[in-house]
Amino acid sequence: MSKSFAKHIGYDDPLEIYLSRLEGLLSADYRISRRSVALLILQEDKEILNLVQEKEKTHRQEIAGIIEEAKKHFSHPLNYIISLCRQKEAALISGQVMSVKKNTKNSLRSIVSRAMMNPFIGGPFLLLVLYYGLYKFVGVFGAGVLVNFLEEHIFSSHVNPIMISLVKNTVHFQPLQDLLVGDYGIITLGFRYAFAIILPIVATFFFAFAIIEDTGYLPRLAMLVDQLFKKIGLSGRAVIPLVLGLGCSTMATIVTRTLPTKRERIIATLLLALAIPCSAQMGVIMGLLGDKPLGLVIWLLVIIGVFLIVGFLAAKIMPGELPSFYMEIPPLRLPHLWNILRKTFVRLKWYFFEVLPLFVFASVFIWLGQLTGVFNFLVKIMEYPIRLIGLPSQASVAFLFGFFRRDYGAAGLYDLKKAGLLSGNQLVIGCITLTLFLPCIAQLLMNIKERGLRLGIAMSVFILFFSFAVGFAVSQIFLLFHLHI
Amino acid sequence: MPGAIDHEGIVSLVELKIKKKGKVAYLRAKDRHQMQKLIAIGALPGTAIVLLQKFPSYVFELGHSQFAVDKELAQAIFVKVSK
Amino acid sequence: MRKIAIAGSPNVGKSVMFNNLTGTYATVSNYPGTTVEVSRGKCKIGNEEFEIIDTPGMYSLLPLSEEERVSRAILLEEEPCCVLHVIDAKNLERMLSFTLQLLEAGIPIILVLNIMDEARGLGINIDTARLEKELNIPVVATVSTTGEGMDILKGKIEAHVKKFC
Repeated sequence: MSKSFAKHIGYDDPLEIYLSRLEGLLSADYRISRRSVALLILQEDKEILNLVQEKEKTHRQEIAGIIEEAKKHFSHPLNYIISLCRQKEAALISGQVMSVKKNTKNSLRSIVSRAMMNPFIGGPFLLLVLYYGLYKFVGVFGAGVLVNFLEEHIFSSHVNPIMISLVKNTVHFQPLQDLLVGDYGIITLGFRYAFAIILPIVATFFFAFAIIEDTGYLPRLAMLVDQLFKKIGLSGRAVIPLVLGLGCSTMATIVTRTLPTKRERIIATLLLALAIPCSAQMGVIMGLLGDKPLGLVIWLLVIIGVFLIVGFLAAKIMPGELPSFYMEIPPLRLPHLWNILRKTFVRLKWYFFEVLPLFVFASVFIWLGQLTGVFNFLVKIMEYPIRLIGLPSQASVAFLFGFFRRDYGAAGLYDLKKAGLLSGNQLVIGCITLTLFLPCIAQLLMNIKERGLRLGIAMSVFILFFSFAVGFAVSQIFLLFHLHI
Repeated sequence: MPGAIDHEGIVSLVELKIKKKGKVAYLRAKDRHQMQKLIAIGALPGTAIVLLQKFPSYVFELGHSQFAVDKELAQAIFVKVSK
Repeated sequence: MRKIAIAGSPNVGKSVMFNNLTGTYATVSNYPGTTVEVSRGKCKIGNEEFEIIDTPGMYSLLPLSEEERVSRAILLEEEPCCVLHVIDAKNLERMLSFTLQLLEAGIPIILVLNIMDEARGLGINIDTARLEKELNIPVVATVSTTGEGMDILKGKIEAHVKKFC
């Protein structure tokens, strides 16, 4: 195919001479033109270079020699020289076919765009986006109104009773009944959970995120935070997975792939697992601390503090290439509803295929744990650190379930609050520890999948100890200053 | 070609005044990788460039697109200021 | 089934173009041996059904990231019978560099001048017929978000496939 399409672009001498010498030595089939291969190896493309050395055994030395010679001949990197020639050709062609009639005016769009990139306007604007997009739409509407409706009017009053009676009438083996419709059963916990609680929260978040994404706001946010993020070993680019993490940290962990260096991917994964609460979890925390504004502020400050300090230390400790930031700032665009709905739908589809099986798995796991008594044993072990941070030992169950779903753990605390077993201080400490505590099982598996077994486990162990250490520290500070919330 | 440039009126993007128009004169990257990033965004000699802001990141218009870069990359772009 | 790949730099509307061609029935999977996700779908053009591959954004044939390496690998190893190089029309000059690289490599491309509405808004006019002659490849102007130009694109793909594949 290469022959019929290949277009010839001339390069200045002596580059052209090096090129034709290399082309003459290449005899294997590369699926792309030899000239293209010659250009790529002159620019030290490792992958192609290895391929060439493998395929051109007889001329190996000679080829390497020409590349060295060419590199020595120019004082600039060869990718620069080659790009310059190509750019000249591109400019020539576009000059022939393109004409511009009027000058660009200061349109409303560009004025808004500039304002968003101004740190003094962009900062407050971010708070507005978070307040209306995240708190009002996802928190109040999604996690409040929609969840209430699905949970109370659909599942608790219709679906669950029907399924329970159905199973009890057809299956007469008690443990199997428990597995399906027990307190933590696949249908009563797994499905109800996935459809009545997670679906509305995650759907509203993905919808809001798609709007933010399609308007072109995220690159503007990235350029605003780049300097701050450099201090924690990341570049502004990392703001995209981190904001997504406020919706679903598991999905955000996958999106860390878009970060250019391994170092950035590891730091972002750690921060997502430790200090970025997902939307489902935040919903419950709002419920727990909603009537204690001071508690909410302390929770927020501690989480932000942990985010910055751990990021800063990780950046100090981790070796590797320092991050570099470059990003296109696309024009602000009015999003199309259809494209937003499609994006939301595709993400939700992914979410359900990846995450629903994990809910079923968690139900099975809890069932097995209860059947064998392993669960009671783990709850007993957890009671020690729980008491250490000043919480009643009943909270241990909430923390263990928190591992299967972080927000489920928070919901466990909610029950304790309702029973009047938690003071204001204990509530704040509990929320902080649980936010930092091990990510849900889905995210743990994703960390291992993306970062490897060793790093995934190491992060989890660190988070396990660190979260309780912070909880302990906060409880001591409360004691020291006689604070009562 | 680089090297054969009259260096008068050429400053790095970091020293350029905001709203000043110019053309990219040459690139002086610290290594091949940094160079490749600048090539990727198309900051090549001859391209019209306008600096829009310096803080918190360097934002400039290149042709009809806007880009944001950090200080390290901005230092590698040298601009011939239009009179 | 023959393959058509969509390539181009980030922010040029590749994914919307992909969705226009394939509808919502796409499969997303990791490219073998990597963590990069690639979407694939199907599209009927003329009487033939094609597999459409949406490649991660790439700026040039010389990869800077794992995503760009995957995009290049798709172009080289999966031998698509046609590659749609999608560019942002208002930045024709800057983006033509990559078109030239693809042409140098002998990859069969159709040049798609996307986001044409924004270019027009800036007063930019592009003579696509002349550009076709200069580059000796099919050129189509589109607005992927509204679907403008998609029929012409399909027509050009059909003609291209008949002629060369």
